Amino acid sequence: MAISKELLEILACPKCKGPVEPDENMTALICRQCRLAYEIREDIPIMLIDEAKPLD
Amino acid sequence: MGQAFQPAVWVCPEKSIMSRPKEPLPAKLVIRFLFRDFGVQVEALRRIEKIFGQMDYLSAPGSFPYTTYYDREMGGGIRRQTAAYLDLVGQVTLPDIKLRTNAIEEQLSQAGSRQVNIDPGMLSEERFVLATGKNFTHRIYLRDGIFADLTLMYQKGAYRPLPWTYPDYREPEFIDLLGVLRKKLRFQQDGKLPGR
Ligand SMILES: [Zn+2]
Repeated sequence: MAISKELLEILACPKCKGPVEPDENMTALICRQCRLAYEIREDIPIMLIDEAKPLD
Repeated sequence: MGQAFQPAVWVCPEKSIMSRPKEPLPAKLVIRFLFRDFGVQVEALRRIEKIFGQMDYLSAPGSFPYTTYYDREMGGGIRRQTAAYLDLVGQVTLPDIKLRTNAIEEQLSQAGSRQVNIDPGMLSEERFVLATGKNFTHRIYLRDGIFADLTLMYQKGAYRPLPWTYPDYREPEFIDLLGVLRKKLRFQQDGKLPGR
């Protein structure tokens, strides 16, 4: 079961507590404020600051 | 008359069928917050992370469309947020967790009224259990004035509400979130994170 769009829309960034948005492929959640990408692995968003990738 | 009361002692007729008591697997800590002032809420999140470690989920602050006694205590315009924590917790520690979050509520209160309401619960593969200080017919006493409320039961592929489950714990978004957290919990019980 893929993760629901509704659920992705209610998640917040654990760093700045602001909104995140899915990228076009639904492979990560992006925080524009922190410029971080939180990966979605095995349909599970990994909302950990240590695991997030900086945006280029 | 005059004979001392002798409690009946039940002896298992077939010792071989007795199961050996065993601690259940650790659970995921899931906390729901109600607040009006986001600054106070951010401070509550910070204090809880200091005790229980880093969050691994946080929902965006949403409206709380239910009328409860929190309206009277905190005033209107209440918002809520749900957080989950990376480090798993022993299921036996639920009362300790509730006492710690009660203390944070108290530290952040102003003029005797709560600014943030903090409801910790434990998510296991089988159920979601909230801690509460209020006795009620369906609640099981744990210790230190804290009861367990069986809020959702995992059956046929989803967490499902019970007749006493509060409306805000029946919402599909919340139940979906717990389904995702359950998948993550299973990875963590094998000592790993998804995709690692
Ligand atoms: Zn952020």
